[in-house]
Amino acid sequence: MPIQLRILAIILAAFFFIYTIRLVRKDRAEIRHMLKWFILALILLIGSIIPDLGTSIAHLLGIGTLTSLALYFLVGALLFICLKYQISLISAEKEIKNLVQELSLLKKKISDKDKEN
Amino acid sequence: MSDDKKMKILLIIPAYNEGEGILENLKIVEDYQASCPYQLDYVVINDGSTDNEEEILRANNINHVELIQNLGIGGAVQTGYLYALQNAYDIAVQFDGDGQHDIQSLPNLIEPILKDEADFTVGSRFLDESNSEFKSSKSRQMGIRILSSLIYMSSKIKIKDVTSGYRAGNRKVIEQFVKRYPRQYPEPESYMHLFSKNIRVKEVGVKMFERTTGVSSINMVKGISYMISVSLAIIASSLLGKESK
Repeated sequence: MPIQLRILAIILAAFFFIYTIRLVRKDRAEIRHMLKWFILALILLIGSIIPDLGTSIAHLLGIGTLTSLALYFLVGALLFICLKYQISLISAEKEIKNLVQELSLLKKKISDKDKEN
Repeated sequence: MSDDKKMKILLIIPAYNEGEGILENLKIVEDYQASCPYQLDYVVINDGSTDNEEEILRANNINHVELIQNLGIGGAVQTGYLYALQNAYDIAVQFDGDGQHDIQSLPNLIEPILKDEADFTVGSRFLDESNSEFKSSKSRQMGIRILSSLIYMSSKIKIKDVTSGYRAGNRKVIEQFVKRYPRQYPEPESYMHLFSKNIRVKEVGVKMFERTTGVSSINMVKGISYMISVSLAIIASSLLGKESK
């Protein structure tokens, strides 16, 4: 792995750490939300500090260089995270729909009662 | 099910920005209500309209539910089914608020359910017994034919008019639709959900008119994307159905 790329990866990992920790400290997120980003940053950091370890893992998987392994891994991880987010978005949408329906029916019941009195 | 008159029937009338023609169309429904042999009620679902629909409904004391937020046609119709369930209706009928559906065809939809020949009936423009002059455009008919054969191939449910929104269901259907009803382009996909629950579906002839006010929720530009997404939804749900058996 070229030295420039290693430096870039370390900077990226540091940025992730600082940014996510700031989010948690400002109460914009909980640690459990940020855990996967911590782990991602940690892997990035280990890979760039001890590239030999990463390279041997890459060879073990039949991938030529650590850079390619990092790309494969990142794309895979991002796709997975994306899917997870869509699923949680869909369930949030469903919950909102149910709430809108129940609340609207409740509002109708109340206004019907008001009319009777 | 011999006591036909005791069966409580609810017309679910979803209406989005129909302020212009809604009263006229409800007048026709009320006239029918007074003359028909059924115990018939209706509820208008105002799907978060942005026109003066809500004011009109309120001013005229019309039984309606105002959704506090626009949910789209699927969510609005499902609210109607939820209302039917909560108020212990035996049969729920989907009926458009734009004057497309002929209320005089209601017995065609309801009788098979009262006689326990079907759990769910679909009003069709394309059956021989339908005296509908309005059959929709050539391209739309073609699309409907494709979806119809897709549904038949994957569920053996034979429906010609798959996009028809003039439909009636008994308690079993009401409960199923409260649990699960597609939010967008709901009609074709909903047959797949009924199929997996062994609900008997019957298509009956009804009369439909061209819409008098408002615009259809499916325009020409959306046509192709409609076909693709609905076809995929049918194929996908047929795969899921087979797996869970």
